[in-house]
Amino acid sequence: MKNVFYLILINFFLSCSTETTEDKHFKISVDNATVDYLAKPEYGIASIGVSDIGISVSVHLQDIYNGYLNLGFNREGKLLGARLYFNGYGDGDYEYKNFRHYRSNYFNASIIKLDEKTKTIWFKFNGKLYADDNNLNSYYREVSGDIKANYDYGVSTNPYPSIKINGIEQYCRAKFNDKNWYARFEYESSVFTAEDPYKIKIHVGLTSAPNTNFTFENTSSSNYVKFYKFNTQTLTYDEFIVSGNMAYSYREFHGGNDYSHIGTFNLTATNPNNPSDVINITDGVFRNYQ
Amino acid sequence: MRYLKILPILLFIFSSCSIDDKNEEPKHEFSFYVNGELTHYSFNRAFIDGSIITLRNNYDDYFLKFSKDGKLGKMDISIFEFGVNRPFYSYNNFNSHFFDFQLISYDEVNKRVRAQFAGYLYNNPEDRNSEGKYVNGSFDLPVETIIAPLGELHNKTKINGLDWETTYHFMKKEIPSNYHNLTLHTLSNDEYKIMISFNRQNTPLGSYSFDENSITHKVQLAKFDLGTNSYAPYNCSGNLTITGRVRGAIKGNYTFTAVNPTNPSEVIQVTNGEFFLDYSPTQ
Repeated sequence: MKNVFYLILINFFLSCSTETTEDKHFKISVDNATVDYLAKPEYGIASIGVSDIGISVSVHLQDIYNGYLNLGFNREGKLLGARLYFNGYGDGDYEYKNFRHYRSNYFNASIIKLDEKTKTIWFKFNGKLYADDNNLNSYYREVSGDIKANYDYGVSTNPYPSIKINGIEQYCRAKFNDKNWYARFEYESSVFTAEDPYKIKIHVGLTSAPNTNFTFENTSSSNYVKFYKFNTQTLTYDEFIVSGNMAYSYREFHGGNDYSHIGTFNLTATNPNNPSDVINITDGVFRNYQ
Repeated sequence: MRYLKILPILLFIFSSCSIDDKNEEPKHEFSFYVNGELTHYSFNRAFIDGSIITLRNNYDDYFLKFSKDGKLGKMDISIFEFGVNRPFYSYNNFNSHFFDFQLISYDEVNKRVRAQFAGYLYNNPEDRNSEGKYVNGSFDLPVETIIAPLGELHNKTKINGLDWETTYHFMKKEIPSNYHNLTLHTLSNDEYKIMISFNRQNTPLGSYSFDENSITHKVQLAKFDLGTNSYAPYNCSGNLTITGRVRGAIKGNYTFTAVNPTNPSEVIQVTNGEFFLDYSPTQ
């Protein structure tokens, strides 16, 4: 009989004291509505993925309006992109996106715990998604998440983000004070940004010869690289004082005056509002379209 | 033997730990009769957005809309008869006078709503002489906050100092051929209707003064006359401020004075008006 007692006791502790489903949750909120996808699996798709380059979250919101929320972060938890959208509502789709400039400053996220052995993550985020991603005063929705769940693991086949203009692969990579930087976005042709406050604009003169080393400064109008930093007070980009050199090795004709160039650059950029803020930009490589 | 005495207690603890009640579907009750016959209509949950609760199947097919303080917005059903689906609606205007909707309880903490209703629905929601169906029913449902493309649509104001909030609105082109001059008709369950006019194409953010001669960028009060079965518009003057535009919706605030044109001594103050409304449905 004693054995029966201990058997029940062990069974009790096994069932109650080890990790339970209560430890895990997958809560997503949009404005005042919160859904815990682990408690209500009937809500459908809710997944978190971790790869060697970042974290992604994807959920299907309620069926009534067929809404979706997708977010991507780098491995440090800095926002790369977020999109809330509703398909087939009324006279069209509704879409809300993160503020496009210095996005990591306008969206909070933190990796509380990442266990690669058990493939579990505890990850939180919150921020605003705007009807006009270029205007902080536009109508917005507040989204947040608190996820403590198993993740899917993936390895990226391309370590660099893919940017295309007119179907042509674009890139802009360099070292900022010896730290790797690469562009993720190109909202205007040949103007490159990432999740941080920096912006690089590249221009090659129409008649400039290949394999020629061009020096430039702020007043240069033909061959130049401009460097900017987003100012969170004025909500505009401050143009840095630059001096440097650039060259291109190959260009491709796309009709009219349109070309894409493959080239290199180096420069020193000084903050006009703070002369001690100097960034040495080295090993720059680019392919632009202008 | 002494272990046998505590066995029931241990079994109770064991069983209470292993119960997983998370995925149990919450209790739901719903019944709906048309001309005394029980129908196939069924809902297992209600949705709330701001202060408006709906029973619906998808975004544009809702059965019932009412406020969390029990004011009916609209009932909208479809009945298959004579080989076609035929729509029937609650009367659009002053519906508390014509339809009995009783909110029994709305539990904001536990998210449940109970109500019962009875009255006539009409084939034409503006005409009580059109074909009608007598409906009645009740429900006791869990409530879920909805995630809509435009959050918490509303029009809240004070009419002579008393809170007023729309429970149903529709958009109308005052002149059918004019695509841009729109009026949003906002109704509650009482005799008042507040109409907000603007130009879809040309209403920049900012303030607009208006009076009874203004064609657009104005707000107007109308009162339902039970004698004529129509709305009597008041002469209104005041200020409208547009604070936001997003595709298919407009946001702003207003304050104005409304004067009964047939009885100038009847003056109504409409203050602290605040709205965020989409342009649908149309009528």
